[in-house]
Amino acid sequence: MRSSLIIFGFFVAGVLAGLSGKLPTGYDFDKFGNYALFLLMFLAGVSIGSDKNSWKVLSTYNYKIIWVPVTIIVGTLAGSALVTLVIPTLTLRESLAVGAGFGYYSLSSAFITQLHSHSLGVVALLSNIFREVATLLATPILVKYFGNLAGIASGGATAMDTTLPVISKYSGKSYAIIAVFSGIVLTILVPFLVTLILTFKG
Amino acid sequence: MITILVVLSAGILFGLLIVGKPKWHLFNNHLLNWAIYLLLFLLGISVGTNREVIQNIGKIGYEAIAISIISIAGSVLLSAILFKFLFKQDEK
Repeated sequence: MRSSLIIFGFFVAGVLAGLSGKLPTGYDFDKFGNYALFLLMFLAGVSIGSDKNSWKVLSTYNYKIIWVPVTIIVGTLAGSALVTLVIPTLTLRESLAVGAGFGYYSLSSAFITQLHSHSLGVVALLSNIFREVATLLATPILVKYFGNLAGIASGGATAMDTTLPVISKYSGKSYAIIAVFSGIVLTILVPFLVTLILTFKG
Repeated sequence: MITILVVLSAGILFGLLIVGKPKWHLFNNHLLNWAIYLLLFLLGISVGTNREVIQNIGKIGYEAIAISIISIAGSVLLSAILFKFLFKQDEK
């Protein structure tokens, strides 16, 4: 939670700096952002590759556990697709790309900004922050009515870190392991899925 | 897209070289945090200087909340089915 506040603080600081109109002109901030994205991609890769858990979880648990992230991906993307019926101004591709952040707002908003547009980047930032906050608040109720996987599903990629404590508390310790596994799988998939959705020619 | 996936894969390969070296992990996490701060700050600047975004902030917020609520609902409902058929039997 604290780290999301810091990240959101940097975003707000940028907005205020932009609004002030006092930024030095002549710099191409978008191009700068593009290089920053490559840096972020590389560093995100390093953290995935160097984490023993990323590889261990894949082999340790039985086949059932793999259905958890699969279900979350299908459910999330189906939900995102339905949104285009309610909000016709959103295209299917845009809605799916935002949904495919699975709560990982920092990476997904940065990606979507660079690969699509600023306005969709902001949608992704707010939407995925909201997913994390909603999970923190609603997990007790969701678990009660929809079973022990509900908090993990709602948390998406955040189930491995920020929403893990609340999931562990309401679904139990044994589900904490499933939460970490599912969160890791979704976190790894975010950059791939968002890129695929936004660049796939079809 | 290819460039991005190549950069990501290069990162993963480099990450494999530093498995079990906690100091490197800590350093990488610091860099990763600051790269995220930098990108979000830049995103903020783009937003602040972008009239279209500022003028449509209501619509953007509405879309954001709609996507998150319906996505959560979709994944939670499917997870309830999965729970019922595969996981519930393990509970005592």
